[in-house]
Amino acid sequence: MNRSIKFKLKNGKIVTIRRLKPDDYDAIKKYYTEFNKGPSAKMVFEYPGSPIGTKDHMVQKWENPNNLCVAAFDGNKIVGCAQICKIMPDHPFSGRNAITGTTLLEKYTSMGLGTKFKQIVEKWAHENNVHKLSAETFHKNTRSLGNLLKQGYEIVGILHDVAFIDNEWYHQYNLEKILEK
Amino acid sequence: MNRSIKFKLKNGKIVTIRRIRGTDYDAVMKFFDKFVKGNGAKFTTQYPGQPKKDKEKSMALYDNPNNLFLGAWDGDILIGESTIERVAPDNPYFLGRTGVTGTAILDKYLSNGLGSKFKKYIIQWALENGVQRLEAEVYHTNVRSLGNLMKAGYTIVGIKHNVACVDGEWRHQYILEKILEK
Repeated sequence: MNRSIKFKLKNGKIVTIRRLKPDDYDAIKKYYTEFNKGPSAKMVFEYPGSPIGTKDHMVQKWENPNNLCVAAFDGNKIVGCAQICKIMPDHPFSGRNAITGTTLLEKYTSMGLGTKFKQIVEKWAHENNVHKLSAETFHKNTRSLGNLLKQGYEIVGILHDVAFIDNEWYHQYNLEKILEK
Repeated sequence: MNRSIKFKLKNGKIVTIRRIRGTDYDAVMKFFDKFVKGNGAKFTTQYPGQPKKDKEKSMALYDNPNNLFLGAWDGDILIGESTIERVAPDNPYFLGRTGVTGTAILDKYLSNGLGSKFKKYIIQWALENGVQRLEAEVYHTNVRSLGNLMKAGYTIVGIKHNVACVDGEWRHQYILEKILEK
């Protein structure tokens, strides 16, 4: 994905989706600071005050040709992010697997953006010789789980008691989608 | 585990088991060079010609108190290692309660009781360090490791398909866990 695209949310608002660039570092910091304070944060293992990567670290990840990191912008504000990263791109036997992840600010959920992100990620995966997509989500994150299943992912594992949040044990689903052989 | 102990293999040979320190980096690299020339390359994600791990990062990993890297030594030569690394010890939800475990042993030292001994020490360390859940992953073709993990009380909780394509055949990977206590 090399160009930015306009996407109309279900509420009629238009957002711009494009690859993250080095100049976006401050915007992404603001995004994560806001996201980590919201109710969705605990569903993706984040919490208020979660450390945010350094600029060098983030930019290296965004510019790595083995990854695609995109964001949705409402004006200049980032309102959602999605990424796909090849897990061991140089590995001679396992270089074609990738892990995916999506986060959205609470008020931009249920607007079709998560589905759009997943389509962009999957298109990139096809174009970049990825064989299999993997994702992980807490069992309580029913919205994410539902979206992943809708996109053709299958649950292949459940890890029990991986986190203890608000006096409850959380389990983690492992999901995958095989694209081609 | 802070002291070294002597352990008698089933073949009568005595090896020393002790913590791997940052200063053991060169010995660990030599170990993996040998390991990938044997069955290691068939049954783990290691492969011949793989790049050497970053020295500084590896040394920090071995010396990190949130991890235990155990080595078995035949004289000065490292012949097996077993590790446990706590996941996200600083995250308030995870608090390092999960420890990811792994074991690698040179072919000629296999089936000598070393794997079981390693697992006992790893579980003991986990219990002493607040780890409540152990996790491991193993290729479906690695029946020896799978058998040892199940003997040690791990259960299969998932299978990742097509994680590697070796000699034209897809390898799957079992995910295993063992809950220690709450």
